[in-house]
Amino acid sequence: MTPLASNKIDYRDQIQRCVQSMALGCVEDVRPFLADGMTVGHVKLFTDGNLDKRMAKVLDQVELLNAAFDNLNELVSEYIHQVPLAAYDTGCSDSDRFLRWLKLTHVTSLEQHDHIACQLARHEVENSARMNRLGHVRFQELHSLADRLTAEWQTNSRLRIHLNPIRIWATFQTNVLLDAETTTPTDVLFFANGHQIRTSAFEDAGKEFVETLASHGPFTLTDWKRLDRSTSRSDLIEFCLDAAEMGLVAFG
Amino acid sequence: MSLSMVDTARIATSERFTVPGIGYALREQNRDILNDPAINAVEITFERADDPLRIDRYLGEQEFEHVGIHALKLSVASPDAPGRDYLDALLAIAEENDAESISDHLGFTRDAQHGAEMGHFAPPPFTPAALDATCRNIDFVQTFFARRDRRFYIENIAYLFQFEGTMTEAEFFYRVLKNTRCGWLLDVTNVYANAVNFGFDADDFITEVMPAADRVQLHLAGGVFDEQAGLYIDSHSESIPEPVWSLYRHALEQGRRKIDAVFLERDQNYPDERSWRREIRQTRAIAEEIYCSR
Repeated sequence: MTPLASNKIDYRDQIQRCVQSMALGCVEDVRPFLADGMTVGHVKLFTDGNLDKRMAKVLDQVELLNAAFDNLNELVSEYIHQVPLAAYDTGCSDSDRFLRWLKLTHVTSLEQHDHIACQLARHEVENSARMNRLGHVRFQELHSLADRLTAEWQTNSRLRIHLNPIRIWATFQTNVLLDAETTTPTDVLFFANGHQIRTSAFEDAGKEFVETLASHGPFTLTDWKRLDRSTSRSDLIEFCLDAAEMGLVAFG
Repeated sequence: MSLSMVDTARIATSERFTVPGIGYALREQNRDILNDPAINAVEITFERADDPLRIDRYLGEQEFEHVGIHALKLSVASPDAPGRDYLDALLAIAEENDAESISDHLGFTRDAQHGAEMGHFAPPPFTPAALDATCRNIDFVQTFFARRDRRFYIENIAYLFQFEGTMTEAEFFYRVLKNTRCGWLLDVTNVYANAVNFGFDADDFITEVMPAADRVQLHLAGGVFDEQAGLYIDSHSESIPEPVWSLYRHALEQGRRKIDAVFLERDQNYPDERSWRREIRQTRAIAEEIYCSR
């Protein structure tokens, strides 16, 4: 092995050992690599600061769970001392991993399950927008014309109905995050609305409309009526107008 | 004084020295004062702009003479080169906001491509092996960004500890700049913090490294001295202290004809509008005093 190749392995080994330990706040492993005069106390200042910031970020991003977990701070602390931050952590990726870790390592009640499902769905909407930024921006631009086009849509047979591409279904087991009269378990749709995330629980018919649009859209009202002969035109119009108002569909 | 004499004087001044672009690292708390006449540059921190639900251009309608993108996760001192997805994302934000430069820090935050991350950059050991890895990664990054005409700058970091090494930080940094020809994002406050904490002369550090840099950007910020730890912490939470202003003057003198932009950073304990404006105007006034009055 050449001296350069050997250097690379030594260096890789040093960085790996240091990162793996410092990421979890274990500073003793770093001691052999420190310069004269440096103590593990100096390293601890560094790792404590990093872990504090990590914990604050996760807690901020899963704030919703405070209503369901009395010991959220302890759980997040346990997580960040067990699971190192992943390379290229971005946006909500660390809190997303926390929620999956929580589901795997702790027994949760149905109410707690719903809080986790809700938070995970919100993250999935963000991830979906990240993966399909062009789709998100195009749909939101189209939806910004909704006021004008909604009025035109019922008379202009060429205008098609577009479904918001940034959407995720989640199943809630309880009513803890829903209206009291909603029958559970129920599927809830999370979708991007401008810079926000909106949610809507649908009855079976509404869910079927969304799935039809997802499978066959975009299409015109006439096309839709051909696909679904059992639903009246006025019901389809009512659904579309409601969905357009909430930011789930746009016309164009 | 005749008009032609005034014109001649202006041309002579501008030929001698160009005042760098001056502005803030953009935060929501200073967005409203970015139209201040003292500001003609802005720095965007990638991780803040990287909001997947955002629809509008991060900078909005505003235009600046100089826009820089500042990244946190290239981890150029890691053994492996940065990931393609991250580089693509940086470039996309740069293009969307008409940025001509991208910068990151000389340190490591992760061990390997799909490994662990520490959340903040640690200094590399100042050794030949770290120098090789760092230069290799910077070459890779520069080649990638150069295809789209973006210049890359590397920032000196503030650190709380050092690994055992065989050269000084100044020597290491000099070699990185000399070997890669990348730009230097000289964080004046980081030099000050390291000088206070590790007992070297901050002016000498800048004097020693500057000859290796072709192009330079500057960062200025204010930190706090932690009495308990006995360390100056680069917290970006205070006004710029007098020793940092003094070092800024020194950096401007040393970096004549090389300095493209100066960015002020503030991340905590945000000041009121008057203080935001006062500090940026002071930054410009010092640059104009040094570059225009001689």
